Amino acid sequence: MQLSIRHETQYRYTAALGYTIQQLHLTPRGEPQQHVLQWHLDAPGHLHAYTDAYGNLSHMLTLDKPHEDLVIVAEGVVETATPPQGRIAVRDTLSPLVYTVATRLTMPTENIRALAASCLPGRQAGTRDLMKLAEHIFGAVTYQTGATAVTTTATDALAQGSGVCQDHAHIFLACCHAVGIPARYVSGYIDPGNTNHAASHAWVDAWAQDDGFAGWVSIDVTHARLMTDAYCRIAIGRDYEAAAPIRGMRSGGGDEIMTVDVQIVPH
Amino acid sequence: MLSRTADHLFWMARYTERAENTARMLDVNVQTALLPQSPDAAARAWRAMLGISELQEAYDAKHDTVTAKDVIDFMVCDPSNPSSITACLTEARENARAVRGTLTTEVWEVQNQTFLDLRRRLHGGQLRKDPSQFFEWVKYRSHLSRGVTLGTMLQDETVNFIRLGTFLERADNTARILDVKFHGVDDGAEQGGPDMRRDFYYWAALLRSVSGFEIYRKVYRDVITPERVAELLMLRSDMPRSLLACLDEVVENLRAVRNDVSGETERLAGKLHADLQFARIDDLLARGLHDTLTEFLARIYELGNRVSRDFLVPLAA
Amino acid sequence: MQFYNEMSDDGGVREHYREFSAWLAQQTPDAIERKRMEADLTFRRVGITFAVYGDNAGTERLIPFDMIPRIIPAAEWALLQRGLVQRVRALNMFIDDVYHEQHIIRAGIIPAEQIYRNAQYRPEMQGIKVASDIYAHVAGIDIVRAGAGEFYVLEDNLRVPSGVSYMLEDRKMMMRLHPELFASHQIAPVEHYPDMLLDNLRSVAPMGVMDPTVVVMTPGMYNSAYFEHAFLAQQMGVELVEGKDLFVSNSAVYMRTTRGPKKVDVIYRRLDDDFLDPLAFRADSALGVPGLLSVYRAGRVTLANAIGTGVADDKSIYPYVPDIIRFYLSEEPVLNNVPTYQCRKPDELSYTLANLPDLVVKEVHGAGGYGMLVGPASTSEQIEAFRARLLAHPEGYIAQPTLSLSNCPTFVESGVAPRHIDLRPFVLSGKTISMVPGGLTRVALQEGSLVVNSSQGGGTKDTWVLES
Repeated sequence: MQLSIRHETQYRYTAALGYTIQQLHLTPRGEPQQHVLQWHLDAPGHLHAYTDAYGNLSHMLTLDKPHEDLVIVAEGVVETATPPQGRIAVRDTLSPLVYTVATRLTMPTENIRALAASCLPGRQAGTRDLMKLAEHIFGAVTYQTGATAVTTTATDALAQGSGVCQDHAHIFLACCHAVGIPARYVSGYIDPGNTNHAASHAWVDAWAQDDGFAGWVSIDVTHARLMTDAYCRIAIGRDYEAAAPIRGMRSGGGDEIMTVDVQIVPH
Repeated sequence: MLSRTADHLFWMARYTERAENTARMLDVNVQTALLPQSPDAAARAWRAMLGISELQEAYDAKHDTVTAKDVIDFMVCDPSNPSSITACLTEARENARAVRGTLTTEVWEVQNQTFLDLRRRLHGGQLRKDPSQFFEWVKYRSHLSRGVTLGTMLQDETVNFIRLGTFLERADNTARILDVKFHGVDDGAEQGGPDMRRDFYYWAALLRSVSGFEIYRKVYRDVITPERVAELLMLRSDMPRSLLACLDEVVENLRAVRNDVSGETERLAGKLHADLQFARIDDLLARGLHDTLTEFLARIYELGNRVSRDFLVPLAA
Repeated sequence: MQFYNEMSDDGGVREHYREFSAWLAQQTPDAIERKRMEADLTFRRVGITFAVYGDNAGTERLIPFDMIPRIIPAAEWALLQRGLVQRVRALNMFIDDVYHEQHIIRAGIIPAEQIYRNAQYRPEMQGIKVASDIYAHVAGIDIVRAGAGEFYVLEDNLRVPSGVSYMLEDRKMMMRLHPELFASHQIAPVEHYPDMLLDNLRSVAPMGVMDPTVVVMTPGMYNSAYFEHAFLAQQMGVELVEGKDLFVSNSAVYMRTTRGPKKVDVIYRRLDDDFLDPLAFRADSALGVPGLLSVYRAGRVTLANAIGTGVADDKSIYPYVPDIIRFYLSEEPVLNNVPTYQCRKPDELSYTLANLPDLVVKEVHGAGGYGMLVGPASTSEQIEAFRARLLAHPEGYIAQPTLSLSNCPTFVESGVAPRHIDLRPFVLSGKTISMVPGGLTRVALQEGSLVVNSSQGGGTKDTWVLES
């Protein structure tokens, strides 16, 4: 399907600031199942475009003139297709082994290991096993905004039993790391259809070994289903911190008020 | 040089100067307290001193009454006073430590030794027994600091920023001392007529506190009058601690470190300098010394902020 | 146990020590003591504290300096130098290969897992071109002499090796205290190290930069090696900066100066990869520069040492280094590794478990001499406790036979006595591989102790390489 996407982020500050740097992942990835028809990124200051370690199309925004607000708008039209059986045929820049390494957010601990053991047979897991894990997490962790923060670890979110898509994804990744299955974080957009679901979303890719296939399968843990053409992929990484749409630092400015608006509709 | 390095040097100098001037102020009060006066007048004098540094509230939070001993303690070593002499000398030393690599051994050792000796002296109770001697020691250490800086450091940007810090602080502190002392004059007048003898000791104490007594005699060869004291301490550039002398240094050092963005700051400093250089004391007195000094303090404060912004580490928003 | 003594053997004083030994015999204990105090005073006065800069009491800790030098004859040094050049060249080629074609993995020499699951492997470096293909611009290779006098490489330090400032200050102190020794011996000079280092750093500036701006980046004055950072910056005549002095703008790195922002081309960084950039690595690091990695990957700033060199100096890679030399250079290693058992391999694990009282067992991801078992020096309780840890995570350990490290006469309470030493030469790589003769000799001051780390009570000696 064709998705029309607009992602606007606004920062307002109570005092003038002299310097802002923001790392942006706001451009859809070049992948076989999605085709960018038009895309435009609008932001003040200097934008340095590059491809990061994970193959994501990134921008480093720097602004070192005095300013009191910052508006970043990414918008365009993307043509998406449903990957068959959730299989993503991405040409990887890195070995899948890179995605077996846990980060602070996806470190396996007691509760994670127990969950992994109950769903995953070991290092060789098929799509069905991985979906089983997703369903378990879907059941064990209620979707609830405000219960966790961007810095919440997988083990804490699982213990709490509530979180958002980022937490679902981290828990899934931690379980895979516990048994040595390559798995990575995916950030992007989802067409919410008739629901109230946010258009910004996070899910996972996991390495599946099925009959005659070994490769990445893309799974939306929050909805316990394989990825469809309602999704647009922006960035992959080992966790939220690597794939977040916007991450930055500033110097000065007093307090910050951030508002985000993401609109995604079928074109 | 790195902005952060210059920032440490600037603040090392400012804190050292602030400690010295606090000691001078306290010493004036200690000397004038020896004059015959009512307990009320004495208390008022001490209270006025707290006012100079805008510390009345902090003091009142801890003390019910104003006594010499309490005020001295508060201004010298109370942990809740961020401008106490102890706090200033500690900050000066911390700033020096951060840039020890850019200082000569002598400059560092003087800062470090001042800090170590301070603790020894306070523990030894010198403050109670002979406060004037303590204040003399603080002044002396500050002189020493300036002396080794000029005597041993390479005369480059390092020295420029140290001197900017010293003279911005001195200008600010001197204006405050003047303001309080001239306010004190108004109070005294209300008590019923000038008292020649008392006036003499009062102004003599002020002049001594800025090392200006002998200079006054040399320059004016006449009795001490408030007008001439004001003129000497504000407008005469040959008097090292006058406001004009401080601005001479500020302007000269700003010129030496001029960069792409400091043009406006230089202009404002030049203007303030010119206002002092071409002022007539009669005009200032007619306008009211308090108003003049208040405006001066605002402009010096602005200059300090601008220097931080143009060259150093901008002060937090 | 018999230890190789650097100064003498059964037949008497070794030839290269004879001149010094004769001199030592003529010194009175008083004269020696006076010189020791002079050294102490000078170190303190000039601020060479080798440790954390002062506390509130205003006192600072010195690292002990011993006045008896470690002397190396020319022929021995020639061998060491050849071996060091070979080893560092091969290690740089290895790192380059890991981050590009990975031939060594394809050839089956090192399992892919060993590389990828190493926390020091940085995906951010995969496919990136670095200036002159050099990653470890400064390498500190720890060498010991054992048994009958053979040299072994104990450890490679390719991330942020430190100690060269002690080497330089020790030499300066020896020349000041005992100038007569420098007249009676032909000692190869080392003072030109900072010049060599600066030259190297300038030579790896980004392409097209005519007069590169080099800086030394430090975590700050609370870091235990801060003196060295400040020392090297001062000796090279470059700025010493912290993360907060730098910022990224228009995909370049600038430092904040009183004359406005100044572009930085080469950063000799003395902090770990993890702390370099809060947007790329540890988000909580206040020591780094946000956005630095993006400028680095774009080739618009050079970092020395490069990001990701830790993939080659981990204890888990150490056993492969002889094969690495053979693979990239088709040569036999000149310097040998200490025989090492990888506990991740079942038969080597069995051997280790069966011989714990005789072995030194080290954690694969560790540094500074902690987290290890020194079999011969441990009680049976300690050994059993360690056995349990080993069985729980065998892949986390390697084992080595206890080395009978050579010792060197050292001034102690009761006079002169032998103490164990090691050697850390500093190898510089840029357009060529070079080094100053010798390096830092560290000495374990406690009798019988084999631990030379300064953080655990070690001291240093001046190292003399004799010119023929």
